Amino acid sequence: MNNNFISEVKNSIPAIADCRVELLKFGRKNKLSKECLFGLVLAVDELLMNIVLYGYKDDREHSIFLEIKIDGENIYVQIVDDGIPFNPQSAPSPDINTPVETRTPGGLGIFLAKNYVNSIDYVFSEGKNRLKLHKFVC
Amino acid sequence: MDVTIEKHNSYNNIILKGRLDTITSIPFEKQILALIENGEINFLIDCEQLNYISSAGLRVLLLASKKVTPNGGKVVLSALQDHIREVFEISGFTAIFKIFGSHDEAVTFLN
Repeated sequence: MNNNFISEVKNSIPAIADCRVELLKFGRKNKLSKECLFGLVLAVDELLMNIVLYGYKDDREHSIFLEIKIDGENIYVQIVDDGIPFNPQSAPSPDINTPVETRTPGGLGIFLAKNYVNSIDYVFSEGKNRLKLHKFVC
Repeated sequence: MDVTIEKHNSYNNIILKGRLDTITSIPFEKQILALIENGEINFLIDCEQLNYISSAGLRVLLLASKKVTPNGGKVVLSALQDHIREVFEISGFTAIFKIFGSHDEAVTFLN
């Protein structure tokens, strides 16, 4: 079984959406449960979208490297991009207890991504953001 | 993603089918904001066939709710699949939106 997913994703919103479709196929092939695959796809979608929307200060095309490995009970995700340095771990959490009148949607994507994985490691090296996620198969 | 809008006397029924993501949230935002511009204040979002939602989708629902709440309006949701409901719980959106198990319960509330 092919339990490795590798993709070079362009920094465009449609490219992320296409990648999500491929990731769904990969997850189903690897018999991930609907809930587990949803969480994995949502976390990757939110993190990639964040890079595409906020990571680049120029209009050039960039490639984001995405690798996902399923190894027994573990799912390992690597995301490498050459955007501005951004550590999702240091992103402030939204105040989820605020009433509707004052609630702002900022930071929700990263917050959701963190909630759907078991750990996040981040380093910036050789000019690139290097994100490693671990999620237990659930 | 299919968005179906049915106008009723006291509310607008919006049926979401498919995936509410960064791309599909854009036309959906335009549709719901156009209704609010026309004076509509009550919305029932039928989520029975909604399979995916990301923060972009949540953002549109929050925006709609913020626009209608000062005018006495409501955005309520019905029939969320378990994994969609979990996203609402994690985000704290279950405290913002009334969520009903079935479409009929939501209609009773709005009438």
